Amino acid sequence: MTNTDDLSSPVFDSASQGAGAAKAASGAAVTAEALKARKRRRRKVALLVLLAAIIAYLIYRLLSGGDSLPGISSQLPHYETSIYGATQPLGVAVSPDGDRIYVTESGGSHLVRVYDRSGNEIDTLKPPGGASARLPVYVAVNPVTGDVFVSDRLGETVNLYDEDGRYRRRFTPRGPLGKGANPLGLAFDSDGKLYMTDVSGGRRSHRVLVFGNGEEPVRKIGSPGAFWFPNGLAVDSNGDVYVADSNDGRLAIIDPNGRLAGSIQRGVADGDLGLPRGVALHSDRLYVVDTTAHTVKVYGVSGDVRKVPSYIGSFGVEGIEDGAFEFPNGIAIDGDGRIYVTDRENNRVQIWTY
Amino acid sequence: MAQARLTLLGLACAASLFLGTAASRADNGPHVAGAGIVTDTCASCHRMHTAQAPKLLRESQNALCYTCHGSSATGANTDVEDGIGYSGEGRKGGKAGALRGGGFEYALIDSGAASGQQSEPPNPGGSVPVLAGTAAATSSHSVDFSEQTAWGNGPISETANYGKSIQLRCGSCHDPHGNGNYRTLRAIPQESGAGGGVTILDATKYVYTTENYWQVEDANAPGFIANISAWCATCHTRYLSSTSFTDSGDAVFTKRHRTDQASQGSANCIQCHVSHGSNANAEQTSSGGVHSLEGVPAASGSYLLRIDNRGVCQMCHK
Repeated sequence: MTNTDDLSSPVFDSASQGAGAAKAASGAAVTAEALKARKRRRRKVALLVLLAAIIAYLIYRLLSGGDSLPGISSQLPHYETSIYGATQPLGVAVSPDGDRIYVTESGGSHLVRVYDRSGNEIDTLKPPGGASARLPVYVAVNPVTGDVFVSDRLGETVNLYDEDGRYRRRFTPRGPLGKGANPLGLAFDSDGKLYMTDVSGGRRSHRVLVFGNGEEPVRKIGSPGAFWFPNGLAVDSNGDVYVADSNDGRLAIIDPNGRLAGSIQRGVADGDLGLPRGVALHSDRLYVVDTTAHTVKVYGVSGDVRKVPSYIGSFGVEGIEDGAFEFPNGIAIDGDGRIYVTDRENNRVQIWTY
Repeated sequence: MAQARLTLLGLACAASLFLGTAASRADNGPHVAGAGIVTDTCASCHRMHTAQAPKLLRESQNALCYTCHGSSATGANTDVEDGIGYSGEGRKGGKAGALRGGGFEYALIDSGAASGQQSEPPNPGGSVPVLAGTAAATSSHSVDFSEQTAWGNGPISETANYGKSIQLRCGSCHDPHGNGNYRTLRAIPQESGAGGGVTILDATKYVYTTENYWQVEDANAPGFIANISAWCATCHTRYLSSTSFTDSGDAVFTKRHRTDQASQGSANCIQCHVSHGSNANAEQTSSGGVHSLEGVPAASGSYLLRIDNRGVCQMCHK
């Protein structure tokens, strides 16, 4: 390595020192120049070595999927296993303790199937009436009470169950804002406040409804035409709402004042969306299920909704093998970071972990 | 300078023409209408270089269609798999209803109750009521791209010819990009081999659901009832007939029930059949497993009929 001792060492041998004064002066100048040139070369080499080391380190981190790089993690989850048994599953949610996984099936018996962490079916939920009169779509669990909310497309209502799976009642939006709502996506904030996407009527009436303690919404999000078949949604700790504005092909980010703070748009570039359906937030990451891309896209979020989420990567490809999706739809993440994704046409729920 | 201004004016006019050609709404499909075409609209269904299906589609056609129009209808108000219509532009709110065309997997036809009304005239007293919940389809125009026979396809034939084998997809009959036709029906269905098409002008209001399957006329689309039999006959060519008294000259479809009448309650295709799928039963001795055509293996199912067994006959021929 280059150091000061090396640079002060004699460069020429003693025989060259017997020349005349002019020659000596000239020789001294040449020696100084040579020393400078050598010094520059050594600096260049050192810089190149340092650069190569940095590049090698970056490549190693990228390939190994290791811990976070300064600023942002590039790590993506890997496929772990699948839960089978639900027919054309659409929605999924996890109880606060992570021990009950709720899965809605849009085919078959139109049940909500409940699994334990090992994938064993432990219960089924259904409202009164036959299978032909219900079509469960999305499911969410109140983090405060443990109550389970299931949107029913055919019933145009939400069916409410307690934490043990007992049917309690219909949750029917009321009042000037809620009457006639056709619930689809469901999400809770950490205080147990319910957010619901409403697809009643035509496009101009699609919106997000926010509830307090009762069945009458306390406010709505979205001016006429703002959303087009909004599906899944998620709420962060600041009260920002991430909505899969599905038919518009975008992920809309709404601040607590109901204003559009940002979005991820439809397109074909990395991180662009096609048909977003399921949405989940966990830690500093946003997950969006892109149904027609057969993948889950992962973004970094900073907590400041004015900053567009940074695309990290995606997991899952189209297919029927383990880790491949055929029209994935819903997503839920438990407290340990286990990711559940409904894989509709493969009739299973996939589990991905870090 | 003046020439440059003129050029700019011309370019502005040309641009305004393009901006003004946003496609119309509703039956022309959300893929090209609604909020209008934006620069990324195409990419929702197509891929230029990495398509996985014909027509540069990113997925197989039906899987794409069912993603919005399938069970639970998470992207549309029409669930053609279950035969359910949800509240939307075409309805005045309220509860989900039965799709007029039935459904490919399930339907809401209360064919049993309809069978009990055979003593009633079909119009206006008779009705094919709607079920509260879905029942499995017993017959459908399978759109799973499986081989099936387009019964009666082709011209009159002196030798037995039942029709050619075809493979149907949603896009065989519907144009996803919209074409101004009723329900985006193709004037000439794909694989029909028809020489000319049938145009049914689009409705001004859209009524997708019914409370009575027998009421087939669409008051918002007066051309529908007048032209629908001719449209069906672009594939089922030899089923179209104006009389049952004369021989057609065809070895198979020799004498045929009249199917060309153009009014509610009269003899036309849609008066007895639904287009997507029916849940009617056809299990009685003379109807179940009946040979549809001489020499052809018995087919199970209800032949897209609106009423159990052959109740559609008795609705008129009491």
